Amino acid sequence: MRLFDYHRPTTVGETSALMAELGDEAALLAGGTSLMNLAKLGLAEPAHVIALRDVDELHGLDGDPVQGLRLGAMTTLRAVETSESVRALAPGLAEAAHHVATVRIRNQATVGGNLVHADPNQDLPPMLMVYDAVARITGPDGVRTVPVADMFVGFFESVLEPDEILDSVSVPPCAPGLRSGYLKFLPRTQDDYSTIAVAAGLQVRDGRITHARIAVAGGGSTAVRCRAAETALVGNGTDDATLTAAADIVPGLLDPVADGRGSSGYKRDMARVCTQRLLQRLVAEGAA
Amino acid sequence: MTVQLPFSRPEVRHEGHLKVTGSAKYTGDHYPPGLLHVACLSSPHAHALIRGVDTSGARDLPGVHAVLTGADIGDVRFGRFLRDLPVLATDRVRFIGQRVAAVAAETREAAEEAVRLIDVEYEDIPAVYDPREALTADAPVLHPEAAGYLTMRGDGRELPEHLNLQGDLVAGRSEEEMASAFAAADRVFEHTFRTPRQHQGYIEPHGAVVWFEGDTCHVISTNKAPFTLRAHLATATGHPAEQIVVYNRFIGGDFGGKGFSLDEFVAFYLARATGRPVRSVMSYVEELSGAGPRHAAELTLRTAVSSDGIFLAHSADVVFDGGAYAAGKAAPDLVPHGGLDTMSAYSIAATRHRLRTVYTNSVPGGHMRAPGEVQAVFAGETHVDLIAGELGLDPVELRRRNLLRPGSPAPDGTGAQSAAGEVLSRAAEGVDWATQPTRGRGTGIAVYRRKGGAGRGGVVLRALAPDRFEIVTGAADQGAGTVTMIARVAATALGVDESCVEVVQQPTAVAMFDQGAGASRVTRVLGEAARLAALDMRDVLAGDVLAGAVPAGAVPACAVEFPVEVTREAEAPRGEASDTFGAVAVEVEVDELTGQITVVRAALAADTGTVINPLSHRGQLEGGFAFGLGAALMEELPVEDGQVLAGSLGDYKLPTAPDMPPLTVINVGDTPGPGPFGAKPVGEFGNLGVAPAIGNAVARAVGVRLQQLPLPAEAVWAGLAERA
Amino acid sequence: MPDSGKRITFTVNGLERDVVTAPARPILDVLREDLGLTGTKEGCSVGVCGACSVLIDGQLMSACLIPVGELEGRAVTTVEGLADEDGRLSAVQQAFLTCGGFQCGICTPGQVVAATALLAECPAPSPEQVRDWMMGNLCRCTGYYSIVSAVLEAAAAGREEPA
Ligand SMILES: Cc1cc2nc3c(=O)[nH]c(=O)nc-3n(C[C@H](O)[C@H](O)[C@H](O)COP(=O)(O)OP(=O)(O)OC[C@H]3O[C@@H](n4cnc5c(N)ncnc54)[C@H](O)[C@@H]3O)c2cc1C
Ligand code: FES
Ligand code: FES
Repeated sequence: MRLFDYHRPTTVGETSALMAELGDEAALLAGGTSLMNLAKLGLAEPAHVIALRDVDELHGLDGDPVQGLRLGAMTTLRAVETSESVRALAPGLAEAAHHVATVRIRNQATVGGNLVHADPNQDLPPMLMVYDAVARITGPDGVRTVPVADMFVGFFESVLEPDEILDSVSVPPCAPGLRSGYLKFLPRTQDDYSTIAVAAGLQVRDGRITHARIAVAGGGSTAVRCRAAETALVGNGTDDATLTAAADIVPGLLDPVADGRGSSGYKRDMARVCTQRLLQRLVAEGAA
Repeated sequence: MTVQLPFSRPEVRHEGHLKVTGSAKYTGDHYPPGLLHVACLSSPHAHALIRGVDTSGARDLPGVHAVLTGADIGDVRFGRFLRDLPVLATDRVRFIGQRVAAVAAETREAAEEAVRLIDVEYEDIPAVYDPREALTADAPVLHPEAAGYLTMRGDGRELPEHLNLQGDLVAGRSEEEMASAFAAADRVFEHTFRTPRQHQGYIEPHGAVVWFEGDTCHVISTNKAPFTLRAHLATATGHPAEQIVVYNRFIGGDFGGKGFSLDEFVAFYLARATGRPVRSVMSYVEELSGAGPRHAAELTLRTAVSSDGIFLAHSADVVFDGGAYAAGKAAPDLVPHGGLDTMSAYSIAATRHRLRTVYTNSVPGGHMRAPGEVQAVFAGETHVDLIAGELGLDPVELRRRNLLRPGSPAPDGTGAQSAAGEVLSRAAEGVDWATQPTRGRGTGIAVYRRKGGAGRGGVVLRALAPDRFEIVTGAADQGAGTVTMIARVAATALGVDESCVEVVQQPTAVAMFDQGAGASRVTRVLGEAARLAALDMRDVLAGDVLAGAVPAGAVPACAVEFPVEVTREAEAPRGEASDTFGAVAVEVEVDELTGQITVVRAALAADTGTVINPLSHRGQLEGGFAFGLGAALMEELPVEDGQVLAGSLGDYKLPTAPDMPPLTVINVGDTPGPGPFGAKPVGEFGNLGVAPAIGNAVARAVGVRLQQLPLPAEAVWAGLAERA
Repeated sequence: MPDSGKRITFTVNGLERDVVTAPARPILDVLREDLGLTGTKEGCSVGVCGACSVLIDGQLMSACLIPVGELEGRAVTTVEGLADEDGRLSAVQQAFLTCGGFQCGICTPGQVVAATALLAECPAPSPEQVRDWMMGNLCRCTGYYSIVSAVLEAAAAGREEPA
């Protein structure tokens, strides 16, 4: 691994100033689980690393039913998994976080790192899409917000400019009665990345689906929100035919990459199967 | 009868305290003062000529003490038997991952940085990746200079008919005899199977720490056979063996891989060039791309069967992908011998095997837990189930009709004490074989015979006082519990409490010769040496007085003067009757939409003779099962155009705790083995039957038959789609 | 040239330590090479195997994936810090010993550290919880059966021991 200089600012302002000064020689360090691996493999060779650990503004996890959730970028995935607020306000998010790697990695990895790393196989992005979460980004010209669903532009590439910092992600209050969940398909080992994973949310009123969200990890060069499948659900009942019809749309929205976890065709079909199963589970949970 | 050993103390491992406190020292834990770190440059080309190497940038980097290339050390080659692998490539590289240059520097980072500054000019030449293609007349020849290669015996070897052939072993009846046996049979079945390269997956990568004191070269290494390593180093480098001392340290997992030395040679030259201790430890990237994985194989099996389901004749044609060098194989005929065991648990009058290993431009094959046999048992036991299906017979019943029995041993006379029938029944009972599983579920079974390995080794036993004994061994403990085993056996034979015996592992300069761990031979050889030494010691100490049972801790003092020393060797001859029979039965559930296989429960029945340390014994069997589960369901080192595609243990997945099914281990039978007190080998055993048992269960559950490994969900899914 | 000599102060197994080194180096290398604490092992180097498991401020983490600069002002516990001053084994260590939760032992320090973290957070785990938590610590030797028993036994022993 190439050595780098190490900086430890304490405010977002200081961090921005350092980033401006060091330019593309610098990388931000959150939990390090991606950055250190990339550095070891020679895929990232920052001359400077700016550690975010002491930047208080980036920490903190707050939630209430009116405001929704605010996850500071430095919130660990373990905190997301175990937080009472998350479990109450966005239970699917706690579920998705639980399925990331192993507890040792979750203790280190952060929400900000998970989003900015922009690996299409990661578990948090599709779930955050289902919750209509919004990222708050600070740059030299101020703050902007971007829905997580619009954050990813390609493999390992997000809309963040090199001089921008992700400060937090907010999850707006959920649609009343929203049921959400995450299905991670792991045909090899339990600690693996998914072959395909599906996040979904459903709101059902008087037997009709009034609101639906479906998003997939592992389905292409980014996490994919499956709007056409959502449309096929809304306004319909919760019968199997409806759920199946929606699930059948999903494969066509994806362009998965073949790798050791499966061929493109297999991943497509697994997205269909997992979508159907997850929707059925959410409907059943509502009936219970 | 097996013997109930009178152990008075709990069955803990002697070295356990060191291991749970982190004080056990492994090779990589040594950082002697003045240490330099080693990093190596490896070839990104599968087959290329080296046109030039420029190391000036690397040499100029601060902290760098030496940069060596093949040109610096010359054409020095090593290998476990055939010495065809250069320490550093000189004029040509033959696989992606082959070492081309090595650096010793003050820090790990400086060594890695220096490696990047080395410039090599390559000229690509045609490569060949498919073993069958490599055997065609116009295939590129990997080793045109093979005629000059020497073996560890110092001689050359007869060149095969095709230069890309590493080994070609034919065993059994003549082709004519087989032809007439097949012609006479009611039915003949033929199937072809494929198995992949797999990595041993030990958590400790290969490594070595090497330094010189005067002319003496000191080596701490992950190699599990210190004496063999010394011989290899001496032969390759020309340094006298008496001036090489190899130390015994803990080994962090072996599974066959740690018999192949890789870092020791480079470290030798760097230590000599710098006059400093050097530490060379492989990264896992290097491990996966160059450390001697299991050979991929293609196996075609033919069996002649009578109308009542009796196996009359069996032949197998096995082609192993040997990779770019044969150096990783220890047997003189350069084939993974386990390939002979396609159906060795059965009584079959006429058998013939042809095993070939072929040079290709990919990572050289090595040994991995039951080399050749894992491939053979998968093929054989799948073949048997396919035959059962064709004949409309229950798989257990077909096996029962053909297994070796006390009355019907194998043609070579072995297997006469077979417990095959019993292990089969007990494993089947373990998954309620007779009960019809529900939809999507199925049971599967596999049975096999494991022969223990040959070898030689010795111990020195010293009595320091009437109740204090010390045993010196040169053996390395790769995790199987060698130290505890030796102590238990010696204490029992001496008739003293185990706490009176201390096992001391000593370097090659002090200890007696030992062939090293491998081929499941340690308990057989060293345990027996310890037992014999203990019996001698009883004679010396007390003569007839000790002939009867002696209460623990009470070897009577006598007129001898301490210390008393006795030395004993033991040898397991080749072909010794040391059969261990095993059977694995599983129940699987197959998800018909995803193809995912879940092993719901499993039973492993083992006819393993006297158990010396139940804790280690059970650990070896359970660990073996887990090893087999990984090999069955997920492990494959994918190689594309010579490039290993798995870059880390994140890609090459090993089973984790929640991936393990409930497992029942059943110790069966009372046939004693050739080891001390009737012990039998168990090291390369628990893993053997897992893949075919699972494959057979999947076929019975959902009608999808897979004839290759691993058995990923996607393959089952594809099979289900085809069937539909 | 990047920084190769920064002073970093942190606590290791209760003792304050001061190292002058490149802050970019993984904690693992500094523990092993500079501080001589070789109980923490390097296996995969990429966060998968858990051989490098340590506790940082009580949290289970991978020493191979954290630059040592991050340790400033924090406390690390390694396997060497688990037994008490008199060398008496912790309940987890004792259980690994008596249940035979190891063969080659290379993964054992990481297993023991991970199990210690589990029992600190969840003193009476179910077998499923144990398997799920220990998922991050690969063992190629044992098949995990004896490891899971050891963790459960340590939990039971912890309950018996008066606080
Ligand atoms: C063994 C292993 C297994 C894994 N398995 C899974 C899995 O199953 N599912 C899954 O989803 N993920 C998995 N991951 C990936 C893991 O979730 C990510 O590595 C992690 O979330 C990244 O977070 P981090 O805090 O460690 O980021 P870092 O590595 O510190 O940073 C990652 C990237 O984000 C940038 N960055 C970090 N924070 C900010 C910020 N606030 N503003 C701007 N840029 C920032 C960094 O500069 C860097 O480019 C696995 C990782 C490992 C090592
Ligand atoms: S070495 Fe850190 S997790 Fe494997
Ligand atoms: S005991 Fe060897 S890897 Fe776990």
